[in-house]
Amino acid sequence: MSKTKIKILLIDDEEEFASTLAERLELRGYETRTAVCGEDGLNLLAGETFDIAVLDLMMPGMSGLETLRSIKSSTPDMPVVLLTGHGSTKEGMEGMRLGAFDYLMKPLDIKDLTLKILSAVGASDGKENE
Amino acid sequence: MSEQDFLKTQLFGKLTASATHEFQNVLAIIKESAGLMEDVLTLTPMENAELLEQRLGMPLATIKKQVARGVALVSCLNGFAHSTDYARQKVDVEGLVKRLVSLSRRLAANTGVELAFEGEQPTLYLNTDAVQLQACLYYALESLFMALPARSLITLTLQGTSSLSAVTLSASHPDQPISHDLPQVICQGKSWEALQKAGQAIQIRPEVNETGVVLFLEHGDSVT
Repeated sequence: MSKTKIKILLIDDEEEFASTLAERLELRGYETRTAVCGEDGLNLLAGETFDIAVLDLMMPGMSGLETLRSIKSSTPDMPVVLLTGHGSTKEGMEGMRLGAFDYLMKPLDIKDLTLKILSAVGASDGKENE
Repeated sequence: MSEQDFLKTQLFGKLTASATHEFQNVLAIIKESAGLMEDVLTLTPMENAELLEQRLGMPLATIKKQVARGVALVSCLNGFAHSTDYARQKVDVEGLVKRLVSLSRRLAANTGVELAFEGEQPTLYLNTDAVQLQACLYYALESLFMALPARSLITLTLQGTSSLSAVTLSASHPDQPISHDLPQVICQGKSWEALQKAGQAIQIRPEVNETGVVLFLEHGDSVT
């Protein structure tokens, strides 16, 4: 059964960035939940089903890579798109090695993000149907 | 570089890299906020849209332009900060030169000089001290800032063979020929002295010619 809205888990320690980006995604027809740290994100993931996670790599406390490992351990089929800063491409590539779908650099272009989301969810849907 | 010097340099690099990452987050928030305002404009009913577009269109375009400018600058600074991560590393010479040109533009402008990086650049990597290499490039630029009249242009190009590469800094001026005593003026400056000392540490040989400076990079253990 196809879902009408793609549901996104957005994990970023910058609350204003996450809430503004969430609002812009909602205006574009996505459903979003935000978390300001890895632990909160994992708690949300334990209680709800998401189609995709968008995860900031550079977070204090539980790092983006640690969060990614936990996400991949609990929900291996859910795609994860990473957000990283210019100069942190090494971490982005490490994230890909750990199973992330792809990474984007902040500040990002929302068109690039939505294309990446559609691509990731489409690829994931394809896998489920195999 | 002594161990203490390396530790001090590494400290500057770590703190700068951290601060530039924070600044990227600031720019990301500003960009998303401007984007949300644009989204609201798009969704505004037609009868109000034109007025809002008139009032908000220009400031939104300004925000986007300045964010792009900030991102470019912060990316360069972040890359510069990370050049201190290791005492010696595989360096993308073209990327390093481009970055240093970006970071030096304001200093050049303060002396009335413009910078450009152009031409077909060979792919060149060197195993070297990236900080020291940047110091050589910067002192080469500075030796020219001090010697050239306002409105001069310094063009940087990269040349390479299998055993030797060079970064050429050539001066030109739109209204007058370059002074024939440019080489002497360069060699008399403190920046030239600093360049020679910096170059000795990593086998970089600077030379002056009638239009500027050439830095010869010897490929002791280069990786092309």
